[in-house]
Amino acid sequence: MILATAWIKFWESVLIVGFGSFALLVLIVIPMGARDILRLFKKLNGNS
Amino acid sequence: MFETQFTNLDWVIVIVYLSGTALMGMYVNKYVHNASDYLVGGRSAGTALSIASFIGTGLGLVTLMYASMDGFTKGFSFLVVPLIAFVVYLILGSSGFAIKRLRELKLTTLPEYFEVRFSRQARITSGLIAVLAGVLNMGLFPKMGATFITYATGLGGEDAELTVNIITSLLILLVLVYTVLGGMVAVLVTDYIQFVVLSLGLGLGLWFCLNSPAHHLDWESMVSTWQSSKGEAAFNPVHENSYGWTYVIWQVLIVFTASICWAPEATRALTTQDSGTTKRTFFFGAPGFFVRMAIPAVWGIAAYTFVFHNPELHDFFLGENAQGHPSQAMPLLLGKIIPTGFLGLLVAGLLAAFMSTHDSYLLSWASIISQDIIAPLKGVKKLTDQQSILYTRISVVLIGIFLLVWGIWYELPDSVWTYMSITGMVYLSGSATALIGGMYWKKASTVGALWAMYGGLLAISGLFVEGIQNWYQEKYGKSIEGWFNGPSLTLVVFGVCILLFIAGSVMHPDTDSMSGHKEDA
Repeated sequence: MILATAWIKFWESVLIVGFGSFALLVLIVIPMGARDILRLFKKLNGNS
Repeated sequence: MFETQFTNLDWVIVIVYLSGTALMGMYVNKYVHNASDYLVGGRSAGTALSIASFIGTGLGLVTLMYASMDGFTKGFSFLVVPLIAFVVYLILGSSGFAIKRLRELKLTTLPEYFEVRFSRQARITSGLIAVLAGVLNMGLFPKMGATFITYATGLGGEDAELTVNIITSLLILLVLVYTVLGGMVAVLVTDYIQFVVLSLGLGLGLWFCLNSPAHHLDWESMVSTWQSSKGEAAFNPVHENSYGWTYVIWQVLIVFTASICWAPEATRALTTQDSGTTKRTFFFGAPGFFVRMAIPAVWGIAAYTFVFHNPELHDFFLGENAQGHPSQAMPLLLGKIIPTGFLGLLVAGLLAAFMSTHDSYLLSWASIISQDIIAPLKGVKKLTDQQSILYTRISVVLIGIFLLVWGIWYELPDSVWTYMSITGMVYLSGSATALIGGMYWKKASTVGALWAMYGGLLAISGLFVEGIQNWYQEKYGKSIEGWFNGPSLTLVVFGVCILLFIAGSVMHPDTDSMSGHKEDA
């Protein structure tokens, strides 16, 4: 059971790091992605 | 027992959302002027859009289904797979191993690399095997999507199987229309929308899974339920009653090779502005590749807890004569704990994601058919734009017909993730060996690459392991040795591919005229 407790603690930490870094990524990528889309349209419009 | 909180309001939300996305795809299509725009989005996606699209492709309903199925059957132990993905993408993104060089070659598809480095025959062979493995791999996608819709919307029950088959057919039809009308530019934009909506949807689902005490759902309750019913195996992935070491090593190999060679994901490495953007996309995309499996795994873990404490559902899923399938548990849970309105938005977002995963996959495999099989066989270096788009669209429809037949005929196994890993290995074991060997070993030869690719076909045998085990059990009343399973078999195939690659390259080196400039590729 001691080993199981250690694994539970391990997965708790992994989830906190994983979900935390994803939340940060979402906050950064959403506005920057919108800017990229506008640029892409401008570029393709001036394309062949 | 199967009723959920899905109401007519939710259906309206789903229809409005999907129509809006389809119109958006058609509007974006106005910006597509040539085959390069259609197939690689004009190769001008910036870092943020690349990351959103990269994660958006992988963040599909199918991913949520297979991860939740393993979460439901194996518990917290399944979290080792998203953890492996997290670490692999961080390493690839920071080192640029293989992906940097791939982007610098300005390829449209991955098999094209094999012509640059080896020969036209290597390209065609890789293309054929990639399509075979890829189409088999997505063979169960429509059925999983249909299972989700059936159980999340409360349509499960006596006629559930018929409902699933009808929805499977409708989904394939919808996906074909969506893909044929769009292309990679549309994929980039719709993937971005999926990324935004699904990130919020995943967070919402997770919040309800961890904060619904009326349904016995919170972290403490989930941990104690799993601990009491499965013991240490629920948390320790290498425990003898969990996945075991072989499976974990197998997963490291699959995640690593797939991130470099698996067309739908790796094509993203080819569509960025430059190799620096490719590296950043992989590095910053890592949390996305963790979350896309970890959150649904937690949903699956929660679904087991929910079912465990509900006497009626306990009998259906876990009783002695259980009729339930792991694929039905997570959609049923979400349908019961997420409030009306929010549920419609989540189902709409997941359905749209289902479309975007399919159009990425269909476009990846269909463009390999047109660019890497038809063009070289016709003896032309490059198809005209019209030919290219026409052949790609015909391929999309043919793949759609296969999906319809396979999806309805083939029964969902208990672990779709294992099925997908085995079918993936048919292509990955040979092509990843030839790709990495070709990049980092000067003596790699065309014959070695071809032998390795043919060797990968042996992995198809992994699909029949379960059937053979059942037959043996019935005939002899005992199970075959523990080592006889899909993961062990495909690991052996991978080793065979590496040996064939080395033997072929040493015994049949390329002549000087063949390998003059190719070693730098």
